[in-house]
Amino acid sequence: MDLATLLQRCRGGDELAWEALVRQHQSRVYGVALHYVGNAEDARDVAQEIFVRIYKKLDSCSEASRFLPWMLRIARNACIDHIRRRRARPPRHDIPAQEMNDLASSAPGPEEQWREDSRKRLLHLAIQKLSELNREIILLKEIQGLSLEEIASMLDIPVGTVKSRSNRARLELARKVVALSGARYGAENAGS
Amino acid sequence: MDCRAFEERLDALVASQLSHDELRAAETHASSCRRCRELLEVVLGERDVLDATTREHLLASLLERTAGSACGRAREQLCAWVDGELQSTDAELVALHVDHCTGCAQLASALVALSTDLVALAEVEPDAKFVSDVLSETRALLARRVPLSARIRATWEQLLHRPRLAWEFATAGCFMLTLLCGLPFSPLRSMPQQALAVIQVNPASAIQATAQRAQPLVKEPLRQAWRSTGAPLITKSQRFADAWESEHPQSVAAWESLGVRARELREAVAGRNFAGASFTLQQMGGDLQALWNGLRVNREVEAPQAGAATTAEEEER
Ligand SMILES: [Zn+2]
Ligand SMILES: [Zn+2]
Repeated sequence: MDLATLLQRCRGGDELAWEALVRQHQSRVYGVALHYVGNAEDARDVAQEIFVRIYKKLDSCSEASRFLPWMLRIARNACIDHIRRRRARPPRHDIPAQEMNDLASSAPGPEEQWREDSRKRLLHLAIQKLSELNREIILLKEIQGLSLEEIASMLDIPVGTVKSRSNRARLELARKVVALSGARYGAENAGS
Repeated sequence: MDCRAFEERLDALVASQLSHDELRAAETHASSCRRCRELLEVVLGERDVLDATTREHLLASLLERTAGSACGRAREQLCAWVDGELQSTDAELVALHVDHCTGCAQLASALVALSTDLVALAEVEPDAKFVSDVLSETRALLARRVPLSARIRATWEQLLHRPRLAWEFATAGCFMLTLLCGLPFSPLRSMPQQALAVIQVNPASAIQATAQRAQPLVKEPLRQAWRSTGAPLITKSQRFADAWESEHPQSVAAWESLGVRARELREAVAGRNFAGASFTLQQMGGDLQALWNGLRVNREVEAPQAGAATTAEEEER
């Protein structure tokens, strides 16, 4: 079923359509929340809040082709609201420490899978160490694949700024990843 | 030949200008003196005096004292280089630097790896209970959403499919079209497109088909509303209300309610809240029925004059 039909059904109050829409987009929404708020527990709460907001605003998304940027905008706003609230109270725990715990406690699956996962965790950790604007640009452009124009309108900055910022952010991330991995990250790709 | 004499003859030796005896003496010295042998190799270009590390250090300190470290410039262009967006000369220069600079080479290969690895982070699977938790959060909202749309649809379908109501419906329909599009204070007067969108649920053909029969009953009120362009909204509705108050006491409440709904509708349409507009329309339908009932009680004694005037639709133009 195409997205336009699904959205139309959702707007008409079709519970099954709404469930399908949530299933289709839960991973992306959760992924965005995780990168914005930095830990799994908060990310889950925020991802739920994002879906509630999406549900309430379904009528305002007229074009299916604009759904992804529309959804990401709602997600971003919800994450920023959450971060603002969190700043007002002391953090529950140190985020990098938590991530390291996750890393240590992860169940050892097949080796390939484990290496893949630890690579993702390394990236996640490095992303959390970026400055706020750089993290946001990496998240929206490199991870979620939004266009420069879409990001510029979302962040309300000129397109040229997004472009130059994006390269600086990538370089900063590369530096962090190399430092965190003891220069191992990217080394296995260097030969290929 | 001692070391000093060897050094003095070095240039001539390299240029093959030494006499036979001198050449023999120089070769004998070189074979016994390691220092002079190495000196000869260096001069002949057969020996690299500096190991790679020392050479890089020398280059780095030279650049520091002249143009400054090239790493900064290289890193400025590193993303574009990795993306293949650099001009050929720039690309060549960055490539040369990266070949010899471990730091920049590490960054470059990290950048290459990032461009594929980051995409894989776009989606992160939440736990299995996530969807059901979201659904239970939105269920309350869903409950509100379903009856609203269902109710509106049911109302219109009921009006459409029960012939006995068609007549009343036509009256209501004419009124509604008038209120929406025609009167000086109509919310949709300048917005025919939105008007069509809002009354989509209400098949205009059905209204037109039955408008003729309903016409005489609504003719006068419509006329009055029509002809008084320029009169302020309040005065207008007040005059209506006054006239009706004496003639049709039962319709007054409905009329007042209708005025409130018209304002709500105008706000809803201005805010492009079409769901709200439909709901308001539905309530207006109820008011119009009440209004109609009040009218009918009064008019039952009078004989309606059929076909005496043009239809409401035509009057609208
Ligand atoms: Zn010597
Ligand atoms: Zn360098």
